[in-house]
Amino acid sequence: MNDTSNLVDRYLDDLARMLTALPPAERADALGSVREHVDDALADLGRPPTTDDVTAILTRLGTPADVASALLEDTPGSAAYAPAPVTPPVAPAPLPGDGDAALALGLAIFAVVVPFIGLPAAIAAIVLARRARRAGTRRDGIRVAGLVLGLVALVGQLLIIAGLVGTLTLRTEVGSAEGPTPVANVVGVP
Amino acid sequence: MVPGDDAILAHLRRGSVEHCVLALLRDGEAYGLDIAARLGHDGVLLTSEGTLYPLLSRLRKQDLVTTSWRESPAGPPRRYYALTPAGHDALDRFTTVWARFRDAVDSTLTGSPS
Repeated sequence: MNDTSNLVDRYLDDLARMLTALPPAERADALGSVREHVDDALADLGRPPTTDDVTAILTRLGTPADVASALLEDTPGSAAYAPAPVTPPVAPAPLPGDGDAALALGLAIFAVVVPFIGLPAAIAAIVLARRARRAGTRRDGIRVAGLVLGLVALVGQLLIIAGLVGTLTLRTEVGSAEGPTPVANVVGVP
Repeated sequence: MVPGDDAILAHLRRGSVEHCVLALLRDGEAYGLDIAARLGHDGVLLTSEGTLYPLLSRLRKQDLVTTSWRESPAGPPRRYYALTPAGHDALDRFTTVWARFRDAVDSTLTGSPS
């Protein structure tokens, strides 16, 4: 007898755990209905139930997951518990811009790390990221990251070049104004 | 992939089984186990008896059935389900539409002109 009520309790406990997404009143109602069903079925036996009787009744009910997913199916906003869909879930088809988006991010990272050669890479990353948006991509996060990094790299690269040009210009000016080759001193010629 | 019998039945049950529940209540109220037994006896309309209760709670939310508690001859009180006037209307309408649907499918499947 204890074994049989344990089986029923375990079934209802499992079901209750899977229904936490339901409003409490609906959850209590569902659990009450199922418990009543089991009690009625046991009473219909007209004799003390054996564990086999209980197992048969619970088997006819279906697994707790079956019942739970049917309940959660039409409760908007609740994540259905493993809602065994009739059609197998299909992985979203790749979109034409996916490759571009990934390549844009790769180039942008390269452009951030490597000076000078990174400049064309940064431009390419920006162009690819824009092309990916036009073509459509599932990897929009990657695309945006590529675009932003590409822009950062582009600005960085331009700043490096500007700084270098500025320094050189300054040195040339200083050099020509003050005569004998301070640049040579810097380079280490005695 | 050709769907198996179970998958076909699962598709066909959607939208039709709840009306079969309404039909079982047409002649009077019934309690859960009783409905489950009558609906599920051949395993076509109901595979897992437990899924009847989500269905009944949906019908009640739609105001197509009501519940009331009754003493049962043996054991604790039971909840009985009965059709509301809206439930009767819904059943009548479904019965008409279903006949058209069934005839159209039958005549298409057998290839005879309707």
